[in-house]
Amino acid sequence: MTELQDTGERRRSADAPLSITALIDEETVQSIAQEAWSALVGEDEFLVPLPGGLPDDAVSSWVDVRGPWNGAVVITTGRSTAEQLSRELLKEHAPPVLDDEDIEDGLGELANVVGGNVKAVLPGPSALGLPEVGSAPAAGPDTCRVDLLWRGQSLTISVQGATGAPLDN
Amino acid sequence: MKILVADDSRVMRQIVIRTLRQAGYDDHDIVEAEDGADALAKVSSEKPDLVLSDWNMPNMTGI
Repeated sequence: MTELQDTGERRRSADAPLSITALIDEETVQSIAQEAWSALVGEDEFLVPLPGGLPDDAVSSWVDVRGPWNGAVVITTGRSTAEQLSRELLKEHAPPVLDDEDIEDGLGELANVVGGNVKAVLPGPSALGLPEVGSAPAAGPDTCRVDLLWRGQSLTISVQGATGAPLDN
Repeated sequence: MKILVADDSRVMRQIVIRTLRQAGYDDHDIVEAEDGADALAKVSSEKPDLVLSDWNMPNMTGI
């Protein structure tokens, strides 16, 4: 009787990491972001799908997603845009001068809500990390990115695979 | 009625409280907690009638 040889081919195929571009498209990411903006920033706040240059002081917020797909959902925008967004989130409770903690909290919560809704359209049960804020994590080739304008200011949202995700900070 | 709003994000707590007020819950007593451990302590000390809690928080989850 011939013994079957385990070449590992099938196992490798089953274990191959899922590609984000096969799981979600730019239109879905934009739609999720728009829903979050309408619910949290304001009903009349719109994200326009147009590319614009990010300023040198760009800041990112992100949440990790762990499950069948591993990666991060990252929002990147200029510091002053992040401040305006946090002010809109706080509305009448916004202090005259927002400190760094408020700005990071606001941008982090937007990543949290967008990330949670991205997680909901991915296959299988996944866990969401706590929001983090800092320099934009490097994006690998497995990235679904949308370039948007909010009130004429640039903002990008990336759903990026773990290669470029800040998983073990 | 006393309502405990638990979320590690101050921004999100403000959004929840604003939403409650817009929904007509503006004359209720609202207490805030900044993480799961704080929420658990305030459930004991404040004895809220309703808890609205985030799940994913540092120190202790909302669950």
